[in-house]
Amino acid sequence: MPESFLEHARALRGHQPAAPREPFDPARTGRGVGYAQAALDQEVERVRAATEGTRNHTLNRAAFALGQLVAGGELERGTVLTELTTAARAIGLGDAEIGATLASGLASGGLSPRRAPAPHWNQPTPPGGWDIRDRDTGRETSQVKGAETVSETDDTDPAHVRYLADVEFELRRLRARTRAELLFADELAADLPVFLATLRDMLVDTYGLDDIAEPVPLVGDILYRDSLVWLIGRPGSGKSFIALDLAGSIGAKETWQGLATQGGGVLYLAAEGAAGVKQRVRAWESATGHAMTGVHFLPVPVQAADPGAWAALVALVAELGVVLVVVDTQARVTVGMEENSATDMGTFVERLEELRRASGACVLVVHHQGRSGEHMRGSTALEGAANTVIRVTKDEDEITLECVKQKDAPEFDKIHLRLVKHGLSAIVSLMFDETPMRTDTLAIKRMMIDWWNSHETDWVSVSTLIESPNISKATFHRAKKPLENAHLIEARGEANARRYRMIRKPDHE
Amino acid sequence: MLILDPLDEALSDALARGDLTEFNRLGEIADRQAAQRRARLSSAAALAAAALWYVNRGVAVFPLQPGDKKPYPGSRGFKDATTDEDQVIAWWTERPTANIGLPTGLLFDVIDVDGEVGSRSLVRLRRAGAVPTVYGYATTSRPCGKHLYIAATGDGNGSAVWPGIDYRGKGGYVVAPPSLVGDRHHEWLYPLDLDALAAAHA
Repeated sequence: MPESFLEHARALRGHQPAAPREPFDPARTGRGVGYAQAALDQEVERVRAATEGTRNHTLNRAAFALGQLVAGGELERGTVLTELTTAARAIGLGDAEIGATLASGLASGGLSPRRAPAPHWNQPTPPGGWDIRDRDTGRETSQVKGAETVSETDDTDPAHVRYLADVEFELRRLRARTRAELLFADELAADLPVFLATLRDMLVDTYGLDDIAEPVPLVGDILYRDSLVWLIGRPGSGKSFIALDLAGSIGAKETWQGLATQGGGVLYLAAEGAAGVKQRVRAWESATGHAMTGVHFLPVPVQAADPGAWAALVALVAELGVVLVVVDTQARVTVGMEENSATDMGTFVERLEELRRASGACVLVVHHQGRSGEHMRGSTALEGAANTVIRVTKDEDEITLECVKQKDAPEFDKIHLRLVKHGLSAIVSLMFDETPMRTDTLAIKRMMIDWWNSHETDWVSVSTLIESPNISKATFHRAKKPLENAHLIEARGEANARRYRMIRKPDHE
Repeated sequence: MLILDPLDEALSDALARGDLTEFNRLGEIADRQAAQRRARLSSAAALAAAALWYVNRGVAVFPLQPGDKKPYPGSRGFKDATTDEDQVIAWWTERPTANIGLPTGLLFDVIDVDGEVGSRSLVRLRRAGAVPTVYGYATTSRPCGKHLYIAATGDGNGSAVWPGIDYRGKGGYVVAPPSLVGDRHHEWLYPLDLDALAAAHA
């Protein structure tokens, strides 16, 4: 029988975060509080009485036993952590040691929850033994013979009880560890409760995903805040002109080549030196007719391999509160780092992440692309870490920006720019398509008919729109401008929540 | 599985390449095909022919009220479904505009996607790998509505399995293309691939 969609779908549906656990309320159980409190007192006492050499073992045992009760809902986790930590500090254990021991003990205990024994716990065994039946068959199970069987094991001997408990503890610990280790590997030794709590807080279900903030656009549908972007291309393809043009437009709170920008401060790390940048900036200013305000230039090749210098750069970026950081170029700030080493590039990515985290800015790295074409030069770590990769190619004076990767947003269409000589340098300017887009091509006709049939004049998102069979993302994006100009469709909302609707019924049906 | 019409893809490609000659050539073919399909769909004999098409391929059918999803009053609904050609000819001779009902849970079950909400759910279920191989893909009369025909699993019907997603399995039925519900035809985007379906059950 083929796999069941229904079960799969329902299981996914049920995959919602656990309901918040009821706060511990002793009054709720009535029977448990005395027992649980006694158990806590007893374990704390044991820890306090532990002598050197057995301290850790005793603490672990206590954490395990109480962890079972926490999981069973008899004790509050926080209370156990506080009490045991206090006791353990009192006997001279270090915080790191305590944290690790409590983490593994509580986690292991948590895997076999225990409730306080029911009130009849101390009642004598009834004549004929407990009425224990196999629940499925209703037959008495052969293992349970009655009181005499129970008394065969000498459970009154404290030493024996202790021994059994130890054996059981060890077995459970080993089992739990194996399971936990599979889950957490190295982190087990670290601060597991903290780690677990963090992960738990981060759990989202499919509906919760909607609450995760959509990327905040910085420039049209090209650059987004809080992201790592690589602008790649052969040397001389105009990458730096584009980076500078982006920086200038954002800094001056202007549109960039016809695309809306979210203006703000920019830090331009001109690692190739101040001289080249100066000429380009002057050309830009002369061409646009205004000063390149809002852009801070740092003509220093701050090295990613130098933690001290980089930390200062991170602090500076945070202090400036910029929305865009341009690193021009990667090679100049990674001197001594091996470009094809995953470790070195991993470090570099982490450095860039520091910049991004500190500022929430878009970190744009200008990077020379290898001759081999397609891929980014160097380690795949870079391509993996990138939210956006834009390839720049130049043919004569025509520069093309092409989206190679756009992780969390739709890929954007190619942008054609022209490199125009200006003074001693040059600027980039938008190259208009020679053939303006027509709105009566077949693909667009089809799209419009489908659109009308599915949504009439309702506001819809692009993702909904392309659910329709004759509407492809590419056709839509290619057609939206001309359709808007022809007053066939209109748009509303920010770029991350844009909705479109048809203004009227398409007349060609 | 390919859901897009290959012709549509070729059209998109041609447009992307800027090859207008090719685009126009393919577009004419596509237009002709679409016109033919519309003509077929709206012809008087369309439903009867389609009912026979199903039956000849071993898919049991039963008649539904014209323009509607409901079986005829007094009939036993999907329990009347048959692969008997004579019976089907008799039904559609008497009522040429009857819609076509296909019982689910035999060869295929159907994931019934409705509206924008359902489409979103479908995307999520797809990403989660929950959607099995689709052997037929049809539009319905509802906005963004679609029927995904999958191999029968033995499951029964499910209502609101996910937001906007119903399930038709054992004891259920669907309105099959080219039935007309309201003013819209149900239409195959990817016609039911019975050979592949049979292979999946083998």
